[in-house]
This record gives sequence, structure tokens and C-alpha cells, in this order.
Amino acid sequence: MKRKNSNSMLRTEPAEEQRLMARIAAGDQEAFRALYERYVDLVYSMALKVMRDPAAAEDVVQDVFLRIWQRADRFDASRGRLATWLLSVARNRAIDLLRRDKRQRTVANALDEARDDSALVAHWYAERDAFVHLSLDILPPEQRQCIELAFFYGLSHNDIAEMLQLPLGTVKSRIRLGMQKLQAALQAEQSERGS
Amino acid sequence: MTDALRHSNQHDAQTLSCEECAFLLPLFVMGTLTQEEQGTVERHLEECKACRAEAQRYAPVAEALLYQIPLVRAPESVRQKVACIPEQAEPLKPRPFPSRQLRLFSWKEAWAVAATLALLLLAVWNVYLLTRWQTVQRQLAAQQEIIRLLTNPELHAVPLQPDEPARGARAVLYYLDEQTGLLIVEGLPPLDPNRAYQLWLIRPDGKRDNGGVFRPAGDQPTVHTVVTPAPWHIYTGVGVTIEPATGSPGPTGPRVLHGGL
Repeated sequence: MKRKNSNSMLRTEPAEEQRLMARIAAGDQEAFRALYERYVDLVYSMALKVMRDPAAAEDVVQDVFLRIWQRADRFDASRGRLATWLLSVARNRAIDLLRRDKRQRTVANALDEARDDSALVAHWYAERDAFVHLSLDILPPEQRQCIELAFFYGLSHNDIAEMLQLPLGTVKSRIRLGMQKLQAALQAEQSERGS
Repeated sequence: MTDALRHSNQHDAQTLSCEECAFLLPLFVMGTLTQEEQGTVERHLEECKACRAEAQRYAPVAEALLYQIPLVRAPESVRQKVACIPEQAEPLKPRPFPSRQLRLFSWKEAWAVAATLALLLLAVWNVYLLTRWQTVQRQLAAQQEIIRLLTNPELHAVPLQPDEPARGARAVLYYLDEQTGLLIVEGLPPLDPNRAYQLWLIRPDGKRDNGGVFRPAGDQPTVHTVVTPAPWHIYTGVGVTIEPATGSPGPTGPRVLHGGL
């Protein structure tokens, strides 16, 4: 299995992440370089997932890292991992741009997953699954579809109902049931690891 | 449940039920509710502990969903653009260590320090000017006294004779019938810091009265103001000797000047 680098992006200690961000907040360009070399693929992946367009995803990535360079002091390691924070920032920024350009429904129509069976992706899945004990694969397709539309494209219940030509109540039920299933799976996984 | 869902669009902030809230919580946690819905749910959560607990249970799910993406390698163009950000972007807030240079103060603090220093310097300068002014005033008063004395038609002028240690010296004693006078001296040798010249006023019985100590003022004529213990007409002569800097009760050192009155 080919590894991207010796220090995987999800296996860093919180203190190390806080130090890195503190250095960036202080203007340390070497620290910023270390950050984007480690996480640029992750941020780009989220941007591409949401925007469905490489050029638009590129804009999102540049915007996200610009914000990080200017306000790295906003990261708080006590509230979660750096990778989670970066993904959240990237997702939120991408959805903002979708809404601004009124492209939500256009990109959300194409829900096919971009599959890549390269060694990079295989390593990512293995690493991710070691830390994030959750997979949308456990959900029925209709629940997964609604959840993805809401989460990755920022669509409201009404938007999803209109797009899928479904009753509003059906959309709400599917999303709620899907989230409950995911939450139960996560809890079961945590209980197993704890025992 | 169907009725609840059918009417769930009517999100009256005052009447949002827990069942209605439950259907909104997933998107609330995802952050993708409409603004109106977001506010409605927030107000409900402020009041309802059970719904708050359910929202907190969804939070790890929302976090895990972030990772449900296929990983794609970023193009080189993206890497290059990101790499250029530090060179091109201006920080939104002051950094403690910009451009790897150590900054001791923020701009506000620097201005405060500069202003304080300026005020301090101004105060010191004012004290210096006051001292100088007072010195000038004293010098002016002394010069006015000299002018008063020298312009008095009853002024007596007595040239003094130099003695061996001060062969090149020239001196004149000016006095009135009062008890003040001026000794103007030029060419006296410089002295060690612990020595001074002392003027003696000689009585008829040989006793010496102290006429004051003075030190030569470099190349300039030395003007020594004399205040005599007794009227001038009492004295028969004057002499100048080298004494300790603080003066002596009587002559102990060599005589450098002398004259008769």
C-alpha cells in the first residue's frame, strides 16, 4: 500500500496540531507549507465533492487556505481534529459558493460518486475507517441520497423534495431515519471499542 | 405523525413541538436549515432539554459524514496557488512575529511609549532651561553690580604687584568706601582641583581678614567680588596666596599678588 507521507493526516496529536496552527497564526510560512502539503488533497476532495467542477473546486481550496493563513488562530484543538475542522471549513465555503452562484441544484443532480481505485484512495479509506467508524453504505440508497443532498450540497427539505419529486414529509422521514441509523451504528462501534 | 409532518412547515416559534423539532434536528446539526427554521429550532432547544440531548447525539454523525468523501489528489496548479498565498495575502490581523522579525510592541503601544518619552524629554529640557535661566539671572545681577561699581566716580583702583609664582599675572583691585570691591585678575597659573587663590585684607596690626577664594577662569580675566568684613579705609594692604580650595583661616601658601591701599 502506497502511503502519501510518513505522517498520515488523521494520526496527528491534538497538541501537535495546535502548535502547527499557532505557528501559522504567527506568520510561519514553513508551518503553512507543512499544513497544505498534508491536507491539500483532503480539502480539494471535499471541494470537488461539493462543487463537482475542478476549476470551482480549485477556487474553493485557494479560498480555504487563504482564510487559514489569515486566521489560523481560530482553530481550537480541544474542539476536534484539524482534519475535521478543515473539512468543515471547506464544505461550508463550497456550499456558500454554490448558493451564491445558485448552482446547488445543478451540481446536486449528479450524485454519482467519483470512484478512484488508486493506491492513494485505498490508503485514505483504510486510514479513514480506522478513525471514523461510519459508512454511508449501511443506509438504504434513498436515505443515503437525501442525507448526501442535504449535507454535501446544503439543500433544504423543500429543495430535496422538489428535486426528487417527493413529499416533504417523506424527505424529512428519510433523513431522520438515516441519521438515527448512522448514530446507532456509531454508538455501537464506540461501545465495541470500549469493551 | 403524518399530520405532524404535513403541518411541520408551519414553524411557529411559539408552538414548535418536539416531534416537529425532531425532523429538523438532522439538518440543524448539518447547518443546512433555512434561516427561519434555524432560528425556530434554536429557540426550541433553549427550552427543551430532550431535544438538546438528541441534537448532541447527532453531532458525531455530522462529523463522521465529513469523511465520507472519495480522496482525490489535488492538481499541481492548486498546490502552486496555495503555495503563493503567504507571499500575496495580507494578514487580517496584526501578527506577533511578522516577516520573522521580532516586534516588541504593537503600534498602539509604540505610540504610547513614544509619546511618554517625548513628554519626559520635554520635562527634562524645561528643567534644564529653567536652571540656565536662573544662572543667567545671577550672572546678569553680578554684571550689573560690576557696572554700578565701575561707573562710580569715587571708585578707587589699586594695581597689584605679582610675586614669583605668578610673574605674568596682572591684577587691579577696585573698591569704594563701602565694603564691596572687585578684584580683576589675568594670567594667574591654573591650580590643582583641591587648591584656590585667596584674597587677604591686611589691617594695620598685621592681622589678615579673609577676602574670599576664587579660581582662575581659564584664559578669561577673573572677576572676584570682594565683600570686606570692615570698611576699606581700615585696611592698609591686600595680598593673594595659594590656599586649600575651601579657604584657610590664615595665609599658609605662597603669595602671588600684593598691593598697598
